[in-house]
Amino acid sequence: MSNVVLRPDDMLPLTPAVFHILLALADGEKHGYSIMQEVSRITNETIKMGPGTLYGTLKRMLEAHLIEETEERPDPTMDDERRRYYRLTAFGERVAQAEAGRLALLLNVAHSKKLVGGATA
Amino acid sequence: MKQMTPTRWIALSARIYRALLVLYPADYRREYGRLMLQYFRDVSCDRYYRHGIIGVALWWCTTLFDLTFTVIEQRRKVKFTMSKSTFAQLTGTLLVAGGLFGIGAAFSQFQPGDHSAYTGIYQLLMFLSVPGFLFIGLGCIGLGLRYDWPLGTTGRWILYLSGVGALVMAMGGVVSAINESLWNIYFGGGVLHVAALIAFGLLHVWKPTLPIFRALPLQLALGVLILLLGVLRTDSEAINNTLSFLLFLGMGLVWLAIGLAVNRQQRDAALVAA
Repeated sequence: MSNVVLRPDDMLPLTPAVFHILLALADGEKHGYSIMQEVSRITNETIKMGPGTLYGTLKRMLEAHLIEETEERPDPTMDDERRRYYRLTAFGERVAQAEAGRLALLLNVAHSKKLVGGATA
Repeated sequence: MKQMTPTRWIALSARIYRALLVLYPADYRREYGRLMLQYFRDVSCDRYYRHGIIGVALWWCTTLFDLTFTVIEQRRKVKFTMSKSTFAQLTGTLLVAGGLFGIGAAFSQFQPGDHSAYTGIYQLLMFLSVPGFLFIGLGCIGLGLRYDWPLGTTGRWILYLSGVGALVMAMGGVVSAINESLWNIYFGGGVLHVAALIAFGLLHVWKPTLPIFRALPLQLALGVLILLLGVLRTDSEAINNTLSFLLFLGMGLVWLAIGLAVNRQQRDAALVAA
């Protein structure tokens, strides 16, 4: 359906798994395990995705054109050729920006209601 | 008893996980099974070297939960996607058929005299509107399924309602032919179909899903509304009949055009995929 117009806002809000993967891929292509390592790092190891969740989410993201597979390898000599690498598409990047903007707005509201940075009275 | 080395523990663990992968649908397993196994093995190694056998046991707990939910999810998806995609692929053809039947039914409007009941060849032509609305109703539901993501929940449900309205009209057409007092079913279905089409037409102008037919759903909705309300009744029977004919014909042609456009998009998408 090449003529269908997709806008980043149509995809919001994202599920936590999708947003975490978009964040993990924001600084370059990665394979499944390195995506998980990055997600663990940015969430202080609070998010642990099982294999089914990770690849089920990647499959949905591929279908939605948020990410794409890449043939290139960051360092072919250091890596297993059987691994599959993923990177953000331009559309995926815009969706990640839109979701980050949406969350930033919510965070501002939470700040204004003094819900951030300490317990409420 | 021989002590198991870390490598053997992990190899055994991976073998058990590989056996469990059989629970996923075959297509999904072919596409992602090897990657999931590799990922499972990578995380198992990491957990073993960081937390020992307890780490692997905890990873197994996460994996078993994950396996249970994602197997159900993937199996449900396969079942639903197959029936959904088959139906969505028929959308264009359904609308083309609905449009052609609508065009045929338009000629019933040339019946001379009173139009409260159709007779002879005009009755036969009018009866073409039954399969016409049946196909248009199914086509509307198909459009909702086919363009589900860009349409969003509101657009989708409006199209479903419009489709249900057309299906009720088709049913009303049959039952009112048997018992005239049941004509209200046809009318009720028509009101639902038209109201939903107007809402969809407005939504479509604002957020086009079929870009080349941006305003057509609105035109169609207004045409059906005018037809139902009989707004264009004049004192001249010939003018009334001609206007009714043109409205029926317009509806048929619009659905035919949308059906052809959907089929063309489908053909283009298939070429791109190939």
